[in-house]
Amino acid sequence: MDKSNSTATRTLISIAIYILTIIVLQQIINAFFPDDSLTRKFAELILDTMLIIVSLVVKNTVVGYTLLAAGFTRYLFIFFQSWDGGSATAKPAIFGFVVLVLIIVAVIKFGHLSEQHPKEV
Amino acid sequence: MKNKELLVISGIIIVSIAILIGLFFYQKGQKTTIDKTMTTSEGIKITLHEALFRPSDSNYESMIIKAEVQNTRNTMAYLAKPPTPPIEPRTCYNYDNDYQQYNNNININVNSQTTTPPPVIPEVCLAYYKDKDEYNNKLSRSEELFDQGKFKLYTPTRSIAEIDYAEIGGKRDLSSILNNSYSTLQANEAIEGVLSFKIIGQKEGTYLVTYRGNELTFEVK
Repeated sequence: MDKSNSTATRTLISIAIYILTIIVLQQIINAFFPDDSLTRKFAELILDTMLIIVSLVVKNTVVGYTLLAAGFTRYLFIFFQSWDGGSATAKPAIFGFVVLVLIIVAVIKFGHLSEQHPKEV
Repeated sequence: MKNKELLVISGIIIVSIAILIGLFFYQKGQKTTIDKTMTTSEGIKITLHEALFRPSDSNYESMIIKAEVQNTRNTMAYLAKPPTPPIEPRTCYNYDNDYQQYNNNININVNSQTTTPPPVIPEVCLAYYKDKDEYNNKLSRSEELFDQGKFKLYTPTRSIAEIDYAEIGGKRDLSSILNNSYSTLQANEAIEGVLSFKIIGQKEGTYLVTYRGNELTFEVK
């Protein structure tokens, strides 16, 4: 009973952190970079990259994974927002940067999983 | 270990904030403050706040002007007040109906010998039709004048910049409000929005804005 309670609490805290992180970061961007410009895109990328790096450094698993999920979600926002419009030179740069960070994060965070379960011959 | 974690996180956050502050001031430097106003004869005040450039996929840059359109009067205002149409007298309405009826009867009884005389046009209707003709002429003239006085942005090389609808996005498009003679504003209503133009070539210099006989200039460095 206690175990299921603590799991439920952890899930609720995760969801709250996830939603709050996305909202707070968006509000920071809206407040300081209100115009839809390339500078705003860069600011979003920096803020979201900061979030992802912080999520990798944090030792607490729940907080770490939640921040990582929030960072990924925000990256997806940028990715799809950049799909339409924007300059021809900035678009591939943003796509490339997002994909690169996602690959690096995947290797750092989940790379060890393949080593833990080597393929049996 | 905890201290090291805290140190790394603090470092990342400080570096990110420093970059963001840099970007914030860079963005501020990219904007041109205009803050100039012009008022039309209908009491519509147009304030241009600031201008910024956005690169586009094509061979031009988009200039986005943040602006506000406000009705300074306590009554509803048209962007261009149309002439008042004359009121059709009841007798003319009846005459129109009678005349229509007469035409129908002629068509039905085209082969028959019996013909009724056409209805006589009342004096008052002659005056009304004359007024209506005058009204139509005035209306067409006022629309012509409005077309000539549409919101125009002249670039530093004095060519007219084309409106860039693609860059307006989800914001309120003021050009469509200003360039429609039937647009109305409620008493004291103010609308914030943007005007977007395609700028080809030189973008630094003095820009000229004209709207229905009013004009203002602003400098982009």
